[in-house]
Amino acid sequence: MVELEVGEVVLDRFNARDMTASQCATSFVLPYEYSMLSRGSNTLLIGPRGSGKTTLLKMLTPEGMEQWRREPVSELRPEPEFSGIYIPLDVQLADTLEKISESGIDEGAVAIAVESLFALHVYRHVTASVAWFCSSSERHSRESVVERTEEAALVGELAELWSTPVTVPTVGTLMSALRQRQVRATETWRRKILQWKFDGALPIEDVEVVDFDGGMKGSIECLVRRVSWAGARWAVLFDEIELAPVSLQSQLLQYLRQSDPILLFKLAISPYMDGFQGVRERLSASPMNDYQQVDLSEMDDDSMRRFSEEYFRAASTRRGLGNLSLTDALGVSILNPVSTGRHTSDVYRPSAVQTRRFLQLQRKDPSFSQYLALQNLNVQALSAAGESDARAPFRKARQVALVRDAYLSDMSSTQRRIKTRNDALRLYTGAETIVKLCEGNPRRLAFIVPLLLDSVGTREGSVPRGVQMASVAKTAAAFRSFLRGIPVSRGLAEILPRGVLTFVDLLAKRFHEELVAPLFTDDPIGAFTVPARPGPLVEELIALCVNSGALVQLSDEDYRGFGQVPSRMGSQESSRGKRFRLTYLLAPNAGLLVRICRANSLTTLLRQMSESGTAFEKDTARALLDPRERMF
Amino acid sequence: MILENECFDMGHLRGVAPAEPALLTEWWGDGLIFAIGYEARSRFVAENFVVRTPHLLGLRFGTNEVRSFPDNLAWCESHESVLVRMADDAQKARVAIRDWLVSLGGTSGTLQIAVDVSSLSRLLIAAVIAEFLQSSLSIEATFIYGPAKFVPPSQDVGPIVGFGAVLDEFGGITSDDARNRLAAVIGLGYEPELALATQQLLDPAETWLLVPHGYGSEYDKAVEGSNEEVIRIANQSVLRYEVPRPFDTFLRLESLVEGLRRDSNVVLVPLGPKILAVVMMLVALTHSPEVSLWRVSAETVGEIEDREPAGVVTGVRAQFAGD
Repeated sequence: MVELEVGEVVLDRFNARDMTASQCATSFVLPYEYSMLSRGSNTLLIGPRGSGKTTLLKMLTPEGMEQWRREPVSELRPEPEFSGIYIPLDVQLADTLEKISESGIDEGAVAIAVESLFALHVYRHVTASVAWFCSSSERHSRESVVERTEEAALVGELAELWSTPVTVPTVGTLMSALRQRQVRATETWRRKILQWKFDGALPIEDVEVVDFDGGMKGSIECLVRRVSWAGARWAVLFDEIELAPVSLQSQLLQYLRQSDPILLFKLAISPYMDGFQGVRERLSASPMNDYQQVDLSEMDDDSMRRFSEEYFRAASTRRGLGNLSLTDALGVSILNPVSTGRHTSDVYRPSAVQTRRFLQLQRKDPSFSQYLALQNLNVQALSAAGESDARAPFRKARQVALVRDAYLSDMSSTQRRIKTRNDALRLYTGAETIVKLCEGNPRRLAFIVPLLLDSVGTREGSVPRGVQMASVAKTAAAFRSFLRGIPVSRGLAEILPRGVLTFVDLLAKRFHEELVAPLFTDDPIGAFTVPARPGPLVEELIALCVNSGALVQLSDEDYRGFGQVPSRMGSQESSRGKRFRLTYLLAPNAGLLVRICRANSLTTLLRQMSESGTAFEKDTARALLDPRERMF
Repeated sequence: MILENECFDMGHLRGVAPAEPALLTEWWGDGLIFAIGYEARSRFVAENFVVRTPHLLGLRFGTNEVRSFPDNLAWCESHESVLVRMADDAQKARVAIRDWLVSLGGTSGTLQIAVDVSSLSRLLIAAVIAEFLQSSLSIEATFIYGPAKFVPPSQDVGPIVGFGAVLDEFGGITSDDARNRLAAVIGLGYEPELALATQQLLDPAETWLLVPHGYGSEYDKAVEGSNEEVIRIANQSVLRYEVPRPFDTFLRLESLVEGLRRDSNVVLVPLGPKILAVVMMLVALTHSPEVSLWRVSAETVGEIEDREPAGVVTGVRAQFAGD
């Protein structure tokens, strides 16, 4: 069992990319999407950063399944209808391929170079998968391995298929030989491109052309024959396709349309990927026909809650803290009170924190007082109202009132009350709210849960509110730092001093101003719709924000062009006409609600900022607006 | 010149050794490469070396030609031994360096070349080293760094517009054992947030931070202040290095990377003093092709500040084998 060490560097805590499939399996919490992925069909797996794509793919490999079978789990374990071969795109290869693609050499040469280098990379990972079944390998299956002679025959067959001679027919030597070949090929192409830059000549008669498609498919046929107990069907699991050059993205997406009795393809991508543009027509049939689409952003609240609960329990068990319930450990949220477990007291009772805050706001905010009067609401009588319709109007206003109370000073008092940040941050604690902040994203859970568990008190296994506040603040800060560092184009760089973070902060400020405006509203703006013709900068911004998890797409109510029941999100070519909200993880820093709000057009929001914001906001908004929309 | 017990033998990169202690007064050689920048300090080394070498190559960026740039350019143009060449991108820089080396190559034996990295960009430092590597000439290079007098940073770091291997020669290839596990070694500078953003972007399994020391408490405080969060979080994975002792830093970093390589692919990111960029590039070449060196390219926001030289230099030597 793999344990995270106490005191381990917080920033390095979790990335499935760095873990073997066995290690992933020891901490795997089963999401409902896994059963969909396990089916014997081509699949497009979509999700923003940290949503669990890599873990899910690794759990489809024989290694992952084997380790998982050894883990004590309470739920039924779906078995994949195939054996998976996991093929990631590492950052170094991605950088190399990108540099080749952008070098300026002939497109035909680029295609040869990219395909050949990628092919060698794929062959290496196929070999790594084969190694799991070979006893000569340092890490191998404990259930079934091939005999040495069989390994030699298999390696010999692969070596011949891939034109990679080996002196000794073991997987280890084949891996080394392939790596040397990849090194040579990479250096050859680098030299050739350098030579081209200096003297314009690019002789490629002597470069090695490696057949990616034939080599990959041929190797699967070998496996079917030689590793028959692993099943008659295999799936190639391509991960992080969005890192690949666009030409390669398009090529790989085409595999979704292929129908093969022994070979499946599962591709993991970010929601917005350049390579998807124009491919949709070639894919032509809807996701319901040729391939299935699994969208990790579509997790509903109940599933999110269940997954988060399971994750927390598993983490607390691994730490020797027992099978702690997230709900019991974190308590009831002020913003999202869900009475479960041992916290069943009525949050509307007169002595409840929520009620005290409402009364506080009623005293200091005349507009809220007026709102209550118009709605005929009596805060102190809400408890007696029970779960009746009498509470219904207040449910809509509840979060707004709480956030507003946290941020508004007492305007009627002669003594100015200083609002501390802690007053507001306390709102974003409690089980339900922390679940919402994480949005079911395993990466965020992996970051915050250890922080919470570090300070589990002995008193009923609870996490003090102060610890929850600090954990939320730290998780949000780390996420903001990540957004800060996302590379942007030069065009966006000229407008946004802190890149993506500037854009989300502008929106967040706007939404916050709605909440603390002079007049109370129970239906503030907290989302936006992208116009029908967004400019290229806005498109780029939205794509970066969605792929990073800073923005979450909301239900698409325009079903034109789909014909079937569309996924809520799905893979995207454009953000036009779509509705988005900020991720809830940005709410604590900005003082926002943790629920879906009404949307306004992004153009309108930008126009408002261009007219009434600070000088910086005006300039930024004007730059982002399409020239036809800009008002002078 | 390079003693066996003080150097590493790495193929085309023949060895690395400490520089002469009294660099400013005792170095003599065939040529000096330096940047014609906007800081007054960018000509400090050249001014001292112009009497010690017959050939100087001044690389001009073509941007931010303000502050002390006109004076620096005028100084170059007033000295016949200084050849000024445009180097507004890596390709032009490489052509300029290559042609200049060829012009020097008439001498037999090993060329003694000094490179003042104080005002060179990390991209151009990489271009210089790449040209030394591929040259057929045997070159003994002395990389020199002269810090500026401390001035509180007035510029903020803008958005990141590029992130990747500094040059193709410094891109890496995953090792067989690494299983795609990534380790990042990030040098710290006093640009706020940049190291943390870099770390979050790379998302490595293991992070080491290199924190510079040795040129005054003001610098130390500025670096630690700008990176308080990431240093606190990195906890024990922090290596404090002495900027005035780059060869010692090379030895320590090489040892660290050797250890990390056993189970990770390693990416080095040299934020902070330029001499660290040189050290990291030499370490990357030592372990090529498995260790890569990446550059974070960020816009700057705010006024460009002129900076005076502190009056001291340090350096490290490297020998390139040639054909």
